[in-house]
Amino acid sequence: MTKLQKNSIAVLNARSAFDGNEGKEALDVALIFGSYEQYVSLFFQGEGVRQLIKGQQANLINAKDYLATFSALEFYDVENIYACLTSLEQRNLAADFHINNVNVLTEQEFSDKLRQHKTVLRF
Amino acid sequence: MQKLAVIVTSSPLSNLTITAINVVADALSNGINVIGVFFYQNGVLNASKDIQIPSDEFQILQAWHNLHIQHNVALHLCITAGEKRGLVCESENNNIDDAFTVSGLGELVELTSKADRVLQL
Repeated sequence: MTKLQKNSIAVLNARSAFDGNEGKEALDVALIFGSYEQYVSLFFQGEGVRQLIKGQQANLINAKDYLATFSALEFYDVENIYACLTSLEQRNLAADFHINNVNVLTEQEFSDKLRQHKTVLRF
Repeated sequence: MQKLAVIVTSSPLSNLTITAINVVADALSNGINVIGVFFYQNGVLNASKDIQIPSDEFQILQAWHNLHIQHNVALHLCITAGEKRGLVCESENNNIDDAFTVSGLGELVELTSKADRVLQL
C-alpha cells in the first residue's frame, strides 16, 4: 500500500513540448503550486517525455522556449520529477535531459508514485 | 459535507464539458458541496459570450450560467489563459459572461487544497 501525501498534487504531462500549449500551461501550474509551497510533483509519460529531451531548438519553429523555464522548478523547490522508462524506450530516446534531477521509473514504479498524490492534473 | 472542486480544461465544443456540467449538477443534487469550478486551458472559452452555438444544440454557456445562478457555484477563470484565447475583461469590450469570476492560478491552488476531491474534465 502506497502512502498518500497530504494535499499533494501531480502534474502529469502527456503531450510533447511544442504540440500545442499544454506543456507550458502545465509548467505554469507546477510553478504556481511550488510558489504556494504545496507538495507538487511533475510526471512525464507517453509523448510527454519529449518535453525533457535536451537540445530542442524552439526558435526554429518560432515557438517560445518555455523549456528554459524548467530551471525555475528548483527555485520553487519542485524536486520530484519523474519520467516513464517505457515511454522513453518506445520512442528510442536516451535519458539525456535538459534538467538534472529527473527520476526515470518503470511503469509500475511510475504508477505507484502517481498514486501517492491526492490530486492528478493531466495535460 | 464532502467538498468537490472541478477543473475544466476542455473547450466548450468538447463533449467532456457537458459531462462536467452533469457532474456538477449531480454532485449538488447529492448533497456534495461544490466549492468551485476552475476553467483553464481551452476550458476558459466556456466563459465567452462571443461563441454562438446553433439554437438546436446544447447551450453550454447557459448551462454554466444557470448552475451559478441557481446554486451559487463559483466559476473561476484563469485570465492569462483567457486573454491568450480572446477573452477580454476590460469594461468596454468585456466578452466574459458575468457568471464567471476572473481570477488566476492562485485560485486553482486554493481550490485543490480545500477540496476533498478534485475532478478534471
